[in-house]
Amino acid sequence: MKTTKILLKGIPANPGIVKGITCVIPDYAQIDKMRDGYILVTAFSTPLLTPAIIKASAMVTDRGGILSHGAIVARELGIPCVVGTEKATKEIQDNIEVTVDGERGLVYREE
Amino acid sequence: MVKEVSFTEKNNTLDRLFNSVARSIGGEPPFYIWPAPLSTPAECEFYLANEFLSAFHSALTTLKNRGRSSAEIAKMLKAPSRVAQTLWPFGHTTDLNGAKRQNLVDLALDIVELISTYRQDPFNEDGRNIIWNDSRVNEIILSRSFTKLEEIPKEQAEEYRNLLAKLSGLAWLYCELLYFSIHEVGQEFHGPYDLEENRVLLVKEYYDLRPEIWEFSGKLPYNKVSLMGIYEKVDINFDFFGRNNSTKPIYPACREFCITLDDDVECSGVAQIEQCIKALEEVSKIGSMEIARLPRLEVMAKFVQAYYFILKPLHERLGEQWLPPHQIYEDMLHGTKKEIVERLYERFRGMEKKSREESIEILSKLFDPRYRM
Repeated sequence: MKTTKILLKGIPANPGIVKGITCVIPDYAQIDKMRDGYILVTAFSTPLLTPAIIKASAMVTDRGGILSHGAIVARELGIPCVVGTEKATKEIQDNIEVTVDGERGLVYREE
Repeated sequence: MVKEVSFTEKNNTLDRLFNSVARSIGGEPPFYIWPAPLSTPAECEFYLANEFLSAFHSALTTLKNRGRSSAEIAKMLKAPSRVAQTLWPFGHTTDLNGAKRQNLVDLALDIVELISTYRQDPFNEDGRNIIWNDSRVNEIILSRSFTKLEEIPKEQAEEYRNLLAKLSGLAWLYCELLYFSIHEVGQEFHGPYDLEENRVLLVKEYYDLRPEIWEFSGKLPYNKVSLMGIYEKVDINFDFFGRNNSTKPIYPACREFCITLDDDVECSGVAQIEQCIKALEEVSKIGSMEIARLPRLEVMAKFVQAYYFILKPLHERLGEQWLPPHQIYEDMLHGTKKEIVERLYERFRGMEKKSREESIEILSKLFDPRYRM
């Protein structure tokens, strides 16, 4: 039987639920890792991350509030977003399947 | 006949202006709020403020002395939210003497006048950015071919809505690559314009997408993209700077849309919109790479250029070159104003511990030249 494990809690920045594979990009240097439809996990959204953001099916950030860059861009793009988790880039591994719940500000994993 | 404006009227206008500026900025911790400056070149504003505002004041005065009206000058500057961006440096000026302060007071009043030639309410106090009158709205609705999403299969309508969101989000990010935190230099979002049946028209114009500031921008095949949408029950508001905010994505509420490129070509089919997105995506990728490679000082220099780009049409009309004076770069390079910059920066940081109303009071005085020493 599958159980749900909450990995992180943050600020809900844009509603919607997406299940997908994570791509952890702490900064611009690793931007080429990003793949279409992956969940972008980053420290703080900036315009330099544009090529990665545009491919993301959801976004999770360490820093930021409801009016932060990531939150506003996610609302513009219509992708679920959780900001201000404080430790997403440290605690979420690359290439794992997670669910982002932008309504409740949760990132969880089914095990 | 030119109408004389009384001292009290001028003071009231300035009160309203700086209150609107402060309400647009205030209340959130400075490092978490929108806009999030790219590579945080925000300190540049302290280095450029005096020179930039002085150049703006001087160009305006000369053009007026040569008989140019406010409406003509405003038209040269292209859009109201772009003009509003010139208020940011007001909060970053240093060591102003009496004459310079008076010039800033005059400039602030001029800026309100320029914005008034576009906006119904120059301060957007009701949360709307209304720059088209009813007849212009009707003309647009009648003359443009809007794609009606309710009249096509649901899946196809959904695909269109996703493409609209992607195009708009990408254009937004692209404007930030071009103009950093003052991305409204390349954006004018306006509305909501009331239509029948509780619907509204919202217009998102992304323009000057190929500024000579950046070599990569020349690769984009169009200079302007406009997204006009008719929405039902949409929650959106605008602040003084023309920045919009909504509690949730607006595209699910889109009922009809029309996209134009360079005010001319209508871009309506899925393939056409995808092509438009692809071009923007490719240039954004090149731009991100180019900017990421730049040393910090060069990023700061580009930020300064983004500001001076606002004044470019005025300088060109006057037969002058538009680029920033070299002294600004020198000051940034040698950290000439470092002590003053740090002192002023601390004032903004101090806002983190204040309530929204306290921040607004402090900020309005920080930007208002009548209070600046």
